[in-house]
Formats: sequence, C-alpha cells, structure tokens
Amino acid sequence: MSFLLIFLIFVAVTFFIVQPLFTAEKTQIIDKTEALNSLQQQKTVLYQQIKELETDYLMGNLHEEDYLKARHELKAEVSSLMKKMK
Amino acid sequence: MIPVIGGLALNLALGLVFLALYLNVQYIRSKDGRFYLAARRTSLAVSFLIILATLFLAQILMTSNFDVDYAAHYTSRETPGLYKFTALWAGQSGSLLFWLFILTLYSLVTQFQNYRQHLNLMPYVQIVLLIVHGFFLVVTNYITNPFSPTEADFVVANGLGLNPLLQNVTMAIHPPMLYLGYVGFTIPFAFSIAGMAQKNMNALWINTVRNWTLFVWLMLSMGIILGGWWAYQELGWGGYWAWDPVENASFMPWLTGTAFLHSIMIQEKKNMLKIWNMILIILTFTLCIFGTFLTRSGVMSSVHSFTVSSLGPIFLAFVFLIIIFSFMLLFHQRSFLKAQKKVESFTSRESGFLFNNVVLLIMFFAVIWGTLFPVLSEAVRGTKITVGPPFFNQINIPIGLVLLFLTGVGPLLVWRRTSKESFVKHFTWPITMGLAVAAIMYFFNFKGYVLIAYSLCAFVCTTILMEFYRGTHLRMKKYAESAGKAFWSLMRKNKSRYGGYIVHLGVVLMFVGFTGKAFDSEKEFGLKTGETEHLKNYTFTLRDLTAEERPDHYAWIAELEVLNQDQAIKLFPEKRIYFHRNPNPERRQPHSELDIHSTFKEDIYSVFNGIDVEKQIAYFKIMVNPLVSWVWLGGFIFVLGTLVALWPAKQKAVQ
Repeated sequence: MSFLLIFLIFVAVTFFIVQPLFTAEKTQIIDKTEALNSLQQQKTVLYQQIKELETDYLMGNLHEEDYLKARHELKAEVSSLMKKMK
Repeated sequence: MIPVIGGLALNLALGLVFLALYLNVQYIRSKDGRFYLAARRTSLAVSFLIILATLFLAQILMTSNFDVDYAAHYTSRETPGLYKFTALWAGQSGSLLFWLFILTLYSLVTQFQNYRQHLNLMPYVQIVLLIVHGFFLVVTNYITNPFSPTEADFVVANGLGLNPLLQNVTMAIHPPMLYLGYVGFTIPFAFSIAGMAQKNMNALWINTVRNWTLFVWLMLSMGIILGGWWAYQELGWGGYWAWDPVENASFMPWLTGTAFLHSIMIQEKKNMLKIWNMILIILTFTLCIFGTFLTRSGVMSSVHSFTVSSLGPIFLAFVFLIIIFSFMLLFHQRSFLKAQKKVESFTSRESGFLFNNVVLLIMFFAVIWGTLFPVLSEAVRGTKITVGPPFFNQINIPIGLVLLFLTGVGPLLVWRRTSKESFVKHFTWPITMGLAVAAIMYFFNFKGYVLIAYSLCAFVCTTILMEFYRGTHLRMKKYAESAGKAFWSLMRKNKSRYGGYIVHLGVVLMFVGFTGKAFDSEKEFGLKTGETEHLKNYTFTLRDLTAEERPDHYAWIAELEVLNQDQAIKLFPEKRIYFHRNPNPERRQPHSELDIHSTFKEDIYSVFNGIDVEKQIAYFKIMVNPLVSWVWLGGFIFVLGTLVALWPAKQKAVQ
C-alpha cells in the first residue's frame, strides 16, 4: 500500500514537472515591467540622495557651492531618467 | 519505512537537481519559456523533497527511532522533547540536512519573490542555487547520510543522548540563526553571479542584493551574539568570546559581509566599486562554506566542534571551485564592472566607507591567519602551533578601536566632500567629550586600551546623539513639528541612515562591555556548609548542599549566599551528572550548571566545579565580571537598528 502511494506521488511529481514541455507551442516569457521597475528604483534612490543632500546642507555639513553643484548634477540625472521612463 | 522514504527523497532530489540544471541551461540557450516553467517546477519539486526529508528526520528523532544511527547517537528516551527536535542540527549529517532545508526555504522565497521581478537573472540565480543544493545533496546522500541505519546486530533499546552542553534553550535558537546567516549569503552570491553573467546590475538588482544581505547579515549577527550568550551561560569559563576556530568561522564572513554592506551603498549612490563588491560577496559566501567546513569537518579542535569527520576534501574542493569559477567570471566581465567615477575627496563619505572596508579586511586577514596557522604549521613543519586568545587580542584590539573611531567619524562625512567648517563645527563636541572622559579616566589611574576605548565610546556616542539631535531640530524648525513627531519622521523617512546609526550605538555599548573584561576577577575555593570566602567586596557563604535525582541527570545543588554592603543575594549553581543510570561509568557525563547574578555594573558568576562527597566539600569558581550586561544590551540595540534599516518603505505604484 505504502509503495503504491509513493509510486503515485512519483508519477504526480513527474507529470507536474514535464507538463510544460508538452504544450504545443514555443512560448516566450517577457516581463515589460522589469526595466521600468528598475528605472523607478533608480529614481527613488536619486530622490533619496537629493533629500539627504538637502538635509546635510541644512545641517551645515556642506558648502553652499558644493551643495548647489551636487544638487544640479543629481537633478540632471533625474531628468535624464524621466526621459528614459517615457 | 520512514527512513527509507527519507533517503529516497534525498536521492530523488539530487536527480531532479541535475534535471533542473539542464532545463535552466536549455532556457538560457533557446529562450523557450516552456523550459523555464519546467525548470521552475523541477526546483519546486526539489524543495518539496528536501522539506519532506527534513520533516521525516525530525519525526525519527521525536519518536526515538533508534533504528536510525543519527537518532541513536544524538537522542535518548530521556532527552526532553525540545532537545530531541534540536538534535536535528546537533550532529553532522543532521546539521548538513538542516543547511539544505534552510537553503530550500530561501530558494522558495527567492523564486516566488522574483519570478517576475528579475526574469532575466532568475535562470542564472537558479543555476547557482541548484549547484549549492547539488553539493549538499551529494554530501547528505553519499558521505554522511542522516537516514543511515544503526550499525548494530541487536535491537538498540536506548540512544546515547544529546550532549548536555547542547541542552540549553539558547542552543535551540543559536544554530538556526547562525545557519540562517551562513546559508542566506547564498542568495546575494547567486544574484551577484547572475548580475555579472547578464551584465545587469541595475538599481533593482542593488536593492534586492542589499536587502537580502542586510537580512542574512542580521541573522548571522544574532547567531554570533546568541553564541556568545550561550558560551557565557553554559561553558563556565566566564567569557563570551574565546577566538575559538568555530567562533572565528562565523566572525570572518560577518566581517566581509559588513564591509560589503557598507561598500554596496557606494555602488548604489555613485555606481562605483563594482569589482570590489563582487570580490567581497564571493569572499563572504566562500567563507560561509568554509565556516561550515571548519565546524563540521573536525579539522580544528574547538569547544564548539561536536562532530569529527572526513568531510574535509569534498568541502575544500567545493570552496576551491567556487573561487575559481567566480573569479574567472569576474575577470571575464571586468570591462562591464569597471567604475566610471573616482572618489572625489579624502573627506567624503565614500572614502569613510573605504577606510572602514580596509580596516574590516585587515581584521579579517588577522583572524583567518590566526585560525589557520595551527593547521598550516602542522602541514608545513609537522608540529601544531596553537594560536590562542592573546594573539587575537593583541592584533584585533587596536584594529577594533580604529573601527570604533571610524564608526564615529562616518556619520559626520557627506557624499563627495565634507567642508572644513563642517568638520570643525561638528567634531568640536565629540572631541571635547572624548577628551573629557580620557582626562577623568586618567585622573582615576586608568591607562592604555581601557582609557582609549572609553574615550572613543564617548566620542562616537556624542557624534551619533548629535546627529539625531541635529536632524530632529532641523525638522522641528522646517516643518514646525513637535520634538517627538520630528524624531519619528526623521527615523521613518531615513530608515537606512538612522537605522545604521542605531546599529553603531549598539556597537559602542558592546565596546563598553568588551572593555569591562579588563577588570574581571576570579577565585577558586572549596567550602563546607556554613563556611565563608571573600572575593572583591563580596562574601560567599555555603548555606546548604542538597542532592536531587531528575529524569535525565543527577544534581548536587549548592545554596550560596552572597553579601556585600548593599545587597544580599542567593545563587544556586549545580553539579550535574548526565546519563547517571548508565552502567558504564565512562558514559556518565559531569556538567556544571552555572548561576549568574547580573546587573549593569557587574555579574557575579558562580560555577560548581566539583564535590568531595565523603568530606562534603563543594568546590567553586567564582568570578566578578564588570559590565558584561552592556554587551547584551548593545547586541539588542544592534539588532533593533538593523531591523529599522531593513523595514520596508511604502512602495509607490509604477505609473
């Protein structure tokens, strides 16, 4: 009885595994959101950096000149990212 | 029947690993989604079989099925239920199956989490995970099978039982935590290999790798802290860290993992250090496998080595292969990994992190050198030269203090370049506090490392508290928030940064405790009932001595009264004999169950060393260990800070 049960589980597992291989057509799995999600994540990181930069500036950790230069560069990165996202 | 099915499940899982590898490779070649789906399903079947095998082994242990050699070796009928279950990771073959079980759980989470998120990377991630699965399945199938039958030509009536040292609640938690850390580094490693192979290390990849690393690093940290706690509570030598090879085996990947966690931030923010990060994650994963080898092979003599075996060659071969293939891939993809930017200034956060990396790596090299030296010396010169705690302390105390200093400097540095004015402004208070503590300590005749350590603790503590104060104050001014709300918002909106500061605060408190070790004192003596001894300002009187037979051991219980000017407490250390009913006296195992009275000032640590039954003299080792509780408090804050940093941010939907 136990061996029959094991055999049935084995058959079920085998069927579960090989079933996709016997579908008629070749399929392609494409994820269109991956690239967009990555850009979104990059945007989040850049926004976070701008916020952190502003905090550091207001806390007096940065020169105004350095702050403005860094802020400008980060904003340029954000806008180029936004273009890519469109 | 169950052991047979368990063994069969492991065999089948190994076969399916090869099938899944083939299907993944086919998918990469043909991009035919049918192979991807079949590979995914095969991996799920592998996971199912490994989980099944682990549950079967747990069932064998819980039901005391002594037909299985592993159960007969690590449990007995008297072993309490909890410890029958924890025996799952007490011995070699069980613990390796447990390794596999955790890897399976992690793989399942990775599969379901990233089925769509990292579609291009997942086949590569799967291949790496399957190779690691395959290695451990080969080991558990053919080298140390947990389902092997007992080699006896008679019915085994009772098992040998679990080592008394492992019969401790902390031991029920510490190894799984450590394993969650060790095994977990497979996931960031797999993503790193996949990222290199696919030349895809975008922001999403960094986010996934960073979060996984932070989680498994937390597990490893908790495992190490709990290990220290267990050693302190159970081993009876009054310490929590002995630079033992097995302790070092967990500490080494922690050091490189810590370095990686810092430097991955530079990759995230500046797109730099990709090669360096890959080296660190390869090193960390390799050290995790190497650590498992050190713990499980018996190559090192250690208080933690509960197994002796001949696993060495296969583990070393696997470590060697990981290094060769990973570095070949790294070399092949070097042009993709090369940084486009450079560190702009010596006084930037980037260079702060780099210094931190260098110091952590120096410490790592010191630890690995000291750990492997006895083996190397034996291999080269034929004589085993033991490297003890004095070597490790001599090297690592100064390095640790530099690291502590950097912990304080780091928060004051900003990305790109920190202005001179900012340096002067923000360092004034911390330096003043550090110097004030140094002066006070010098006045009270403290010198050397103790003076430096506490001064640095004051310096770092001030920098961290000032960061919280300045951030909160800024929000109060800018958004007209109350102090409480401003503090909460500050934490909520910058979890990674302020979580990190909390971790640093935990480190400072732990250093306070570590430095307290310099003031430990101890005394050994024998007492008859009513007699008294003294240590520091404490008086110890043996009030009573009783004996008691319990289900799995025999115990002598001492009632020690401890008095000083302020307090009177009672301690009840025990001397136990496990397996006391065993007719073979050599199988009876003595064990000292400690009793510790802890305060933030100091611990009174009592060990019942032995008893002269005829003369009714009980022998004790008593220690007064200052500031040990600060280590545990620091550990708790450390974990809390990591949880804050790990707490997920609210996700905004992609438009």
